[in-house]
Amino acid sequence: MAITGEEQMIRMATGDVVAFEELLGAFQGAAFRFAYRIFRDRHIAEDVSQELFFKLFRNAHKYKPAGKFKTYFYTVLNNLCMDTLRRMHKKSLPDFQSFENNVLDGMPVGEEVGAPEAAAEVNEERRLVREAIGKLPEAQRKVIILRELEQLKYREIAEVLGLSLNEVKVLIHRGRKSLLKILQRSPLFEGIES
Amino acid sequence: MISDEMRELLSAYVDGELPHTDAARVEDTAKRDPRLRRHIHAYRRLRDTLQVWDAEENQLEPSGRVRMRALSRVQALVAEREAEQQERRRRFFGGGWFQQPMSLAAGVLIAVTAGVLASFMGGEREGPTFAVRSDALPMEPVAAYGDFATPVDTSPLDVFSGDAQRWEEGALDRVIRNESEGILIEQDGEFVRWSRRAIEADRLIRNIDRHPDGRRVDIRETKTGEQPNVMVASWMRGAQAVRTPYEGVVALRLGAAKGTVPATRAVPARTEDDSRWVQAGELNDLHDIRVTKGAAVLTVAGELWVEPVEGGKPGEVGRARVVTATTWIKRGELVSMAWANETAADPSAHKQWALRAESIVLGPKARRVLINKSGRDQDVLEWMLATYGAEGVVSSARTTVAKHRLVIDRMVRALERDTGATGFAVYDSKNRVLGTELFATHDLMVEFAPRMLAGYMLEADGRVRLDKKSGGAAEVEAAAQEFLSDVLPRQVKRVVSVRDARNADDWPEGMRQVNLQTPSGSVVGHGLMVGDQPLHLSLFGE
Repeated sequence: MAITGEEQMIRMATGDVVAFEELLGAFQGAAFRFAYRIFRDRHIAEDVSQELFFKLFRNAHKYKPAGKFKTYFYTVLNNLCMDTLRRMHKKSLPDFQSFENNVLDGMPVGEEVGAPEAAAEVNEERRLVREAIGKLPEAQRKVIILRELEQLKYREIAEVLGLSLNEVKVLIHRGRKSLLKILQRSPLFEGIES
Repeated sequence: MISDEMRELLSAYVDGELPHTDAARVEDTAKRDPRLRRHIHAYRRLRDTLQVWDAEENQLEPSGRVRMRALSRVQALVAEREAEQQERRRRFFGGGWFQQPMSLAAGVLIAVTAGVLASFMGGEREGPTFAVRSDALPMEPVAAYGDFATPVDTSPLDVFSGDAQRWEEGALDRVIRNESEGILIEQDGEFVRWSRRAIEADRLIRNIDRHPDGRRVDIRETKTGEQPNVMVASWMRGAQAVRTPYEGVVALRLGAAKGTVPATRAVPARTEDDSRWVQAGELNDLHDIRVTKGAAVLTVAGELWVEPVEGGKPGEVGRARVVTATTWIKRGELVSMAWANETAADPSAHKQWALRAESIVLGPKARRVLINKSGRDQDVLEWMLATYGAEGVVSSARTTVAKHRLVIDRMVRALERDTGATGFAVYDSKNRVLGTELFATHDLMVEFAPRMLAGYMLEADGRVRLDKKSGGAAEVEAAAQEFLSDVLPRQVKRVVSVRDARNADDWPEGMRQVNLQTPSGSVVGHGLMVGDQPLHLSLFGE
């Protein structure tokens, strides 16, 4: 059975460290990647991740299992990220492109694509996606990350970010519109109105 | 021109977030409007692109520091809370106004509880025994490795220095180095230090990605002078389960690779309550563990020392035996080694073995290809599901970090049920379970485990790529030939040929390989049978 977090939170409220380890094992990757997408810095993302899990344990007794743990998890995580950003006196998010250059360029790209031309095309498309996401306003970027990358439902995104359902819809739509506008340069999106 | 309102609807439609009526409206309009269809296509394409990009980014994992730091903070918090609670209790009971009646009540309660427990656990429980149990690797390494092990007379050699030349020349005596900094240190997910001497010599050590799936496994590239080597350390990762034949308190000590192993679980008794995790930070410490006869003990491969303890107290170690296994791919040759070390209070009684195990194997993926070609066996599946299905061990789902402990727990439960069975799970460096190997008896595991592990190693090194070949038997055969032509020149003693794998001459007579399949026909593993008796079950990790 997959670890969903609810049971672990209840057990953690009684000081169960094994439950904490289970939760950590199940969610530390997700926490790290989310923070990484926000900060583009491995060390900050790791700091935020460990702070998150400590906070979850410390406040486990306050957790109400009425809602989904995932939503609670991302809410706390998002708040932590925002607090960290504020502490860092950052008015805007760091330059996305530099993050991409630093981190993602080392990853295998287009490995599965047989022909060099196809690989080049896929690489180009991904480069455009990176650029495009980097250029989105913060609010749009967050909803896009939560929707497309973290696979949250609209209702969950609304809860995590403290927005109305309608605001989420509009932000996702605007985010996609902006993305498509940039991606029109790619032949794969050619002919699409933004 | 598509209105903004419609675009908003389209975006939600692609996400499946529209109410039924609105979704129907979008679909209806899309049937008539090709621009709308193109837009839907574009949104879907965008989503797919993001997800492909995300799949790559999902390879990013935090380093072990997150876990270590969070855990140590939590443990400190728990200790703090407990101390506070004790202080409160002390103040409360220290008042004296009802101290005497409470002491009496507590005494009665303890006596009753002890009585109940004693009757529940049985009065015939033996006291601590002073036997030695190593991990799942052979207790008697020379005998266990049998005819494919080559004990050699020894002279001093530090295997961790990278000075393998002398080992290859037959100089095999060595001193086990217990200083953690002398072996391997992991920083930011990279193994940055090999040995003190290696640092001084500025030898190149680095982790490399070589797995066909792009997953990182514990393969290290080293240099001996200018000569590049690849080493796969099977003892660095992986877990093993053994059934302890002992009863009582033993001390448990984790080995010397500080910082490189995940938490190890010793499950000494029949209930979860009695189990405990030993953290990597507690390496080289002794831990008292009470074991019940027949209980399953899980450990990182080759890194658990279970030592006898006088009176259940650590520190009076009579003997210790450690077996570690490593596989090197050196100068194009696959070399498996096993190290056995038995220490004694009397230094003159100290014994060491260094074994070179030479065999060639097919890794799990190569075996899977064979299985796909070798028919199905419903009986084994039913047996397996009946035996292990309830514990959830049988699964074809990808096992991720999230399931790391779950798999171990399930394995323990499975082992608890089946008294004869034993097995181990193999992990990659991200703690993903690559495979779970269960054997009907410990002896069988001893016989097969080294080769099974070597199979994982070969695949990790990217030398077995049978799974990459899809299509007909000819392609599989070609891949098999490629594999064999790669393997044959390596001076191996025996080769289990792909073609003859089902009747390999080193298997017991009548042994056959069978499929393990779900009722829907998906192959989830394979088994080895002699007649109707399943001997070994191998479950794929993904």
